[in-house]
Formats: sequence, structure tokens, C-alpha cells
Amino acid sequence: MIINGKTQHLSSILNILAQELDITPSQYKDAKEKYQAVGKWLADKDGKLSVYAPDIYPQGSIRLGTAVKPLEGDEFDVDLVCEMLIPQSIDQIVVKNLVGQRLKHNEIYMKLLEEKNRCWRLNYAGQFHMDILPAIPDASKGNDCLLVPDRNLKEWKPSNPKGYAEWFEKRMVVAFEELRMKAAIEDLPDNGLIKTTLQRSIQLLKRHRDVVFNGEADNAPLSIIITTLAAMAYDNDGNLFTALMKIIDSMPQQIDWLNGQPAVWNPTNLAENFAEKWATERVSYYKFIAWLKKLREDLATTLEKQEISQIKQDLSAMFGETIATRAIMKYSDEIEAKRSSGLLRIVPGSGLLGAIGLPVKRNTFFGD
Amino acid sequence: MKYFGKGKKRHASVALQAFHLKNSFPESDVKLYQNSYLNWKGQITPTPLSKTYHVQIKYRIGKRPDVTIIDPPLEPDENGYIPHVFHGKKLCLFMYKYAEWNGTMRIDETIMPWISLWLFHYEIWRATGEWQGGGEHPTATEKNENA
Repeated sequence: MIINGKTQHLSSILNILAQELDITPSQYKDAKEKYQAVGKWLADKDGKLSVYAPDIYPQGSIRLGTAVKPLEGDEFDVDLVCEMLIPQSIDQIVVKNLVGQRLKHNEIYMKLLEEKNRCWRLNYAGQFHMDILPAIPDASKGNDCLLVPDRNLKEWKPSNPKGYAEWFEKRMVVAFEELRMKAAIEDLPDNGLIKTTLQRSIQLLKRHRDVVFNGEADNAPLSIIITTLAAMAYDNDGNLFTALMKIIDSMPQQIDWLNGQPAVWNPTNLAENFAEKWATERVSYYKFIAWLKKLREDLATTLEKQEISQIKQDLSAMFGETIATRAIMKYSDEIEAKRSSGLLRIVPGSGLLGAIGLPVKRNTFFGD
Repeated sequence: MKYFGKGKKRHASVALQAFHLKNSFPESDVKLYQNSYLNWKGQITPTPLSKTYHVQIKYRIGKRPDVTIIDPPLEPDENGYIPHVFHGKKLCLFMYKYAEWNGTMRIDETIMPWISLWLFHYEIWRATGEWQGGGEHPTATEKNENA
């Protein structure tokens, strides 16, 4: 795919659009303070849990920097692990209830608490809900490997959120280093303001999925499948538009086939298949492939368009009207910022506005 | 630009304007009439994501240049409104009262960039319903002054 002015500008707009999906730095800071407070409460030596040395840390999209605002409402999912030093022989239900009891002992948490299948949810209405998943170390594997309760609370399932996050970061390390140099910063930013085209692509994929499968969440492709396949397909391309196209093209090729069944193996635990459902309900696999194909066609069509309002229409259909409008407005703001600081230029011959060519002098539009 | 007379600036000749316009926009077409009038036709594409517009400038020396879009035609909204145009869909690109333009200035260095900027904001307005390029709307007296 050619990197030209069109893909550059589309990449800019998609970047702005993806930023509209972000949890804000203040929301992130707030969520972090709250989960650290929960961690302190659970570990407090006056509580019954302290003997198990509970450790709370984020997993999932918050950890990976791929969280997206939900289509409706404002509440983010903040997924947390509560890792405790408890042997495997203990029942899953007992372990889950240990966490629940300790939370119920706190007046504030008691009011926010909602019991879910495998985890405990704290509802911070209008902001986020925190899902706390109890976990124990996997003694047979060591490192950061965990065991978490399965859906029926009858068995321990292997999991490795820390290992997965490390693998994910390795997949985009080249792109990240380039961004770091550009931003000239010292440490990994905690609020994820610096995001690679992999993270942005995943955000856009998830958002497109939310729009397409709105109202039929059961059929929607799982975020972990999208995230894993996208990370496997990524080649550290710095242009968001071309990176996204390549990821979409390459994702189906990352799917493994075992005994005629499609599988997506957890790269940190090759016994775990994220796409179990594809084997038991083959139609969900076909829906996944059809969805990717549609997104690819949508993006290719947009590339052929030659007017900003037509592009905005396409982006509205793909990602939502409000967010597409905001992205176009911010794209215009960038030109206006150059204009007001006297940095806007126009290329002779074509009239292209940007950073090179003849200066655009001060003017005031007028008229009815 | 040449200065003549008692410290008075003289308008750039249409020949000079035409020369610079053709220089900056080699693919464009300029016609001169009687040394006091020029007619320029050319193409402007504000961004790689934008349409290419066929633009016409009719300039009588010392007067406000008349800028119109030949193709594609400007589309008004459902109220028949197009932002920042004069009667006859002529683009309003500057205000005399801020001394933004006069006949001593080169059209290719002033009017042309403003046309591109106007077209950019026109596309943004069609996409979002908002004109984000700033600007002013005239009072009755200003309408006469700027004719």
C-alpha cells in the first residue's frame, strides 16, 4: 500500500478519532487511585485476607492501553486481578467468597458491590465498573502464571495477564521506541497518552465491532481474539491507516487450524484457546471473518473518496456519528492552529494546505 | 512593486499579476484584457482528501477580485445558505477594514491561499454543519463599502 498524502491525512483523522475513544488521563488517574485503595483495603492487616498477601493489578484493555468508550453511556470496564497466596486444593467458591466478604466489610464498597459469575464488581456509576477477579498462583508453572475460577466455579483455569501484557508490548516495541524518541520522554507513560498504531488499530477494530454488532452482543467477536490476532499480525507500521489495513488483511492468516477447527492460542499458554466458541458454534467464526471483510471494504471505499464530507459520512457509518464529527472538527482545528500561529502554507500548483510552500497571510472571511 | 508619485503606492499591473499567477500555477489559464482586466482559471485542491475545484478569478485593476467556483457548483444547505459568499456566490475572502488586501499585493500570494482555505472550510462546513474558519458578517454600511 502506498503511503501518500491521502493515507497520511486519513491516518491523522483516524488517530484523532481513536483518541476520542480513550479513557481520559483524569479518568485513568481516578480509576488507578480507586483500585489502589481497594488493594489497600483487601491487604490491610486488620482484615481476614491479609494472611494471603492479596495483590491487585489491572489486566485486559486498561493494562494494554486498548480500552474504548462504550457505544452507549460513559462507563468503562476496569478489569482487575486479585492474586492471593492460596493453594489449588481450596474450592473456587471459597476463594471467591473470601474476597467478597472482605469487600462487604467496608461500608462504601458494600454500597457499590455487585456479585458477578466469577468476580466481584464495584459500580462507580457514570464513571467505570471495576471487576475484581480472584486468582491464585499456578504452582506448577511459576513465573506470573495464575489459576482463575472457570465459569461454573468448579475448576481452576490457567491465566497469565502479566505474561500476556509483556508479550503484547514486545509485539509493538519497535513502534513504541520510535514514538518515545519522538516524544523524548523518559519513562513508560502510565496513562497511555503515547499509543502505537497497534493500540490505535485495536481500538478502531473494537469500536467498529461495537457498531456492527450493536444489539447482538452475543455474536460479537471477543476482544481477546481481536487483540491477540491483531498483535500477531502487526509489523510496526507507523501510519495508522496502512497499519490497520495490513492488520485486517493478515488477521485471518494468524488463525491456527487443528483437526479442521479454527483456534486462537494464548501466546503465553498454548493450552488455552481463546476461540473455543468457534469450534462449538462454527457460525461465530464465519461472522468474525465476514465482519473483518466488511471493515476492509469500508476502509478501501473511504480511501477512494474525494471530499471531506463524504469521508465523514463513511467514518460515521463505521465508527459512529458523534465521534466522526468530532474527529473532523479537530482535524480542522489543526489547520486553524497552524493558521493562527502563521505557520500555514500552500503548495503552488495544487493549492494544498499544510506545512510547506507559500505562507498563507492573515485574512478575515466575510459575507452573508 | 514600483512606487510612483508623491509617496503613493501604485497598483501592480495586470500583466505582473498574470505573470505571477501563471508562475505559481503553471497549469492554469490567464487572459488579459486592455491592460486593466484579467481572467484566471485554474484548479485548487485544499487537501489530499478534498475535491479538486475549478476556480475563476476576474480582476479589474484596483478592485476586489471576483472569485467564483465553476465546478463542482457550491451547494447550499437546506436553507439555501452558503457561508461567506457575496451575492452571485462570489467568495468573501478578506476585509478591507483590516487592511488585508489592496491592489499592490500579489494575487497569487494572497487571494489564492485564501481560496484554498475557504474551500477547505467549505468542505468542513458540509461535513459538520459548522464553519470553522472564523470571519465576520457585514452590517448594512459594510456591505456597500466592500462591493
